[in-house]
Amino acid sequence: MNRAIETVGLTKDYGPFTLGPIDLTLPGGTILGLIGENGAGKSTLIKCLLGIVRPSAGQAKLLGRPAAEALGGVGYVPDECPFPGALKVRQTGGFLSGVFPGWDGALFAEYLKKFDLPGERKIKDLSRGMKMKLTIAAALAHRPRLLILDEATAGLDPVVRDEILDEFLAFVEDEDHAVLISSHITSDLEKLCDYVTYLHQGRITVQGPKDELLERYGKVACTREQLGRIDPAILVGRREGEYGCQALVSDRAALRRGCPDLAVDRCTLEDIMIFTTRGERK
Amino acid sequence: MRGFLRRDWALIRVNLWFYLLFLAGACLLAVFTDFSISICLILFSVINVMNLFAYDEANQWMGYAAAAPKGRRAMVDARYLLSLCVGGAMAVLQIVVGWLSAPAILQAAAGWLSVLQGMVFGGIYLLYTAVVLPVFYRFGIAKGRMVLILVIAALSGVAVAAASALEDQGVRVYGGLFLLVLLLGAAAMLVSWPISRAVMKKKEF
Repeated sequence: MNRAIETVGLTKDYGPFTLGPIDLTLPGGTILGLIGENGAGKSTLIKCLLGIVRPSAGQAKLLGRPAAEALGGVGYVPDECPFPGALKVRQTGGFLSGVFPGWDGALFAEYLKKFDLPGERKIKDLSRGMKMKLTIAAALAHRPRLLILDEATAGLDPVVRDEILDEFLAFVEDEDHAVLISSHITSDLEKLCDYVTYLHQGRITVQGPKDELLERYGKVACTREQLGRIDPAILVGRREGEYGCQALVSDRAALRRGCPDLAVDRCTLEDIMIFTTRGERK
Repeated sequence: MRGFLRRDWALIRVNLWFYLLFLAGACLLAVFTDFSISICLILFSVINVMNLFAYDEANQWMGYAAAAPKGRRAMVDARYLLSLCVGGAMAVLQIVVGWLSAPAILQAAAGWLSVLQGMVFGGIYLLYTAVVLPVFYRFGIAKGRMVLILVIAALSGVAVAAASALEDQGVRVYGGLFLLVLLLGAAAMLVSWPISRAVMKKKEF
């Protein structure tokens, strides 16, 4: 598989809010993290990819085919467990086997065991973490080649999150598999992702290989006078306080060349997100 | 479609014992008293279908199902098939109870009469379901209830006006008219089904 996801000019117009145009590519064997503030358009983008909402313009291909034809090879994990609380855990396997053509009952049972999910317990009696694990088990049990997760780790404790992230890493060991995950928890994405796409107000603001971005971007603590000397072309955002300023630059090497007296530190995905969103505020 | 049908059936089974007790009680009342079971059966059948939509919304199931291969179409087809099965089972129950509740002296004629009752029940149920399903698919359960009240009120008005017009012209109720109700119901379902499919094809979640 060359490209698990490919979008060209994907747009969704809701009137007051417009997503896109989004040009996105996810190669096989990799994980793409989608970050952005609430309402940035992460869920809308995922829903456009899966055909849950209809794009206003542009094209989306999943696994090299138009999205609607590729859904059999896609495992979807929404932010809430979609299975009725009145049913028992094992019953989900019973009906999902008729929903997904590639359903593997033995694999589902294996995941239930691996995730410690009691088959006889009602779904409404499961914790949020267990419900999420059940949804992930269901997504993996029909042997997808592409996993799409919308805020799947939100509200989970670090132990459960770590367990789930390990599962995704194991999933992409196969070069034919890929994962798209949206999350607010940027530390998780730093651990997990090969690529990062940052959505801000419906548009892609930052995009690229995660290691390259973290290597290229830098955070500077300086005075107002020093801040004025930074090339505006590389200044992503700044925050001015009573005792000094902080700035995020998009090119550490360029900053070192232009302002050799400034100490520039490595930044995190959270820094990129905060400075891009709130960086203009003083 | 099989998976969606299984899910709906699993959800009905959650309250199956209560339903069976309720139906048994209603049947006994109908057999041994003058109690008419028809309204009871129609309400039971329709509430069953409405409950399934409530489950769908509570778990945002439709959005999830829309991301499954041919999910939109399959969930509509399954809901229609299940509605027909529930309606069919209730119609049979209506026929059996109608026959059992007839006085012994009229048992021979009661068979035919209860079949007519079953036809009317089936027809009314199909008409109602044919309206309910696309309305719920289009508007969801909360808004759908409001729209439904308006639609049912309008349909009832039309039915009363039609009955009054027939009466004025001296038309009597024949067995054929019962059959007509059933055929009308079946025709309404045949129209309703593609409408629901079209609604779900366009719907965004």
